[in-house]
Amino acid sequence: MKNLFQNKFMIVLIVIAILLVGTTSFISALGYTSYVRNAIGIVLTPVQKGLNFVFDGFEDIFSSKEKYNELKKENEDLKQQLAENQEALANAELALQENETLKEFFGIKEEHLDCSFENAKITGRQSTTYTVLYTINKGTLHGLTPGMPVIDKYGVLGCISEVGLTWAKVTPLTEPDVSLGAVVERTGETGICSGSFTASKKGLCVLSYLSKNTNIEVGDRIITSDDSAMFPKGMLIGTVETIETDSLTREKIAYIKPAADLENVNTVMVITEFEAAYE
Amino acid sequence: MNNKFSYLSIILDIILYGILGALLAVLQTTLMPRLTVFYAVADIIIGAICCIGIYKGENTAALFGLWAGLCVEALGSTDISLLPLFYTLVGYVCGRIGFNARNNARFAAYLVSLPLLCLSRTAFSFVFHLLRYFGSIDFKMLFVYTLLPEFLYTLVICIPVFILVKALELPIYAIRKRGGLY
Repeated sequence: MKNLFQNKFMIVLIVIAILLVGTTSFISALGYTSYVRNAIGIVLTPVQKGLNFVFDGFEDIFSSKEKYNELKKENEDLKQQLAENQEALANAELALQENETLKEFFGIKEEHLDCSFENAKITGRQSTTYTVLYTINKGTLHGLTPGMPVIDKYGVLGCISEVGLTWAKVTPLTEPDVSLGAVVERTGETGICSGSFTASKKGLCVLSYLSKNTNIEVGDRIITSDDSAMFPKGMLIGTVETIETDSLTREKIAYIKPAADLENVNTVMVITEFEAAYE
Repeated sequence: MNNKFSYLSIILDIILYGILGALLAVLQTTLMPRLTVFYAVADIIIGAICCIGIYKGENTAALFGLWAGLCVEALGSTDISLLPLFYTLVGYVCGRIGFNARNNARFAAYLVSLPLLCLSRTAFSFVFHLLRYFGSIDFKMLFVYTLLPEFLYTLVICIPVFILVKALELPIYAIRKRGGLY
């Protein structure tokens, strides 16, 4: 301490320091900047700015990997979220379609109060060179038996040909295995609607056993007949597409375009019970 | 002739240490805030002052401390301006004690004085916190996350600072040798 007071330079320096501390703090408290501080700031601030720029650059380089990983994770999360949303959207669309279908089925149910229905979904479509078959997601567990009629929202689709515990095979009415009593709605004439090999390739079925003097016309609606043991009466089979005369028997044959959407059917109803059935 | 060389030497010292002080102040306010440990920012100026004190004596170190303190406060402005005074006193004390060490023991003297320096820096920070945030200080947080890390961090970082200061002095020695000032 004795040395400190002997060192005049140090005394002056400390006095200057104290003065600077005092004045700078006082001036700062008033909201101003001292000349000394201001002058140093003017000279060094550009240097500080330049160095900050350089360090920012370094920081960016070092943090870019971390940022990349963060962005990668975020991207993966967003992809996952998008996939979930798309799935939800697809499900919603399916639900809407199903809702529409069920509404139409509900109309059919109201028209046929004498029938019991079992809704089912098409889970498979086997289309080979020889046959077309649909697989539905209901079986004996749901009360289904072979021969039960199957309809879609537009009309008759076919009938069940094979039943498993939780599945069943549906043969469409365009296949030769299926035949059912049919009526021309406009005239009341009856006939047998069945599949044939050539007609099925065109997606049609055949209405035969019509009377010789039939006046069936193209565009006539064909419905199931009253005396059909397989189907309840009044179900729409389809509309007449073309009419031909059999070269051997000279009988008229009508080719029917099925009302059911055989190509795009997804939801069907199996008629498990109806008044005329199995009497 | 000797007086002339002596004045030249002093002017050269002022320029050198003036630039060094400004440069370290800029580093202290740009680089160090990016390298925090918890809430602590290491003080590189204090190491430089001690180094200069040991090699150049108390007057140069105290002047350097005053200048560096002013630069730091001008760049990293605070309303309580105590750093110039603190650094001036640090420079004086380091110069008084360390300058007497023999040439080959000066780095050892630097290493020995470092903990005391860091302790004084921590004490200064504590006082500063008391003055600035009195009434709203969480002491546990202050000691554990600010003062202790500051002490240790400054202690560690002052070793490369010594090397940096000595490296920056090299050009001035070269100039002096060329001018026959040694």
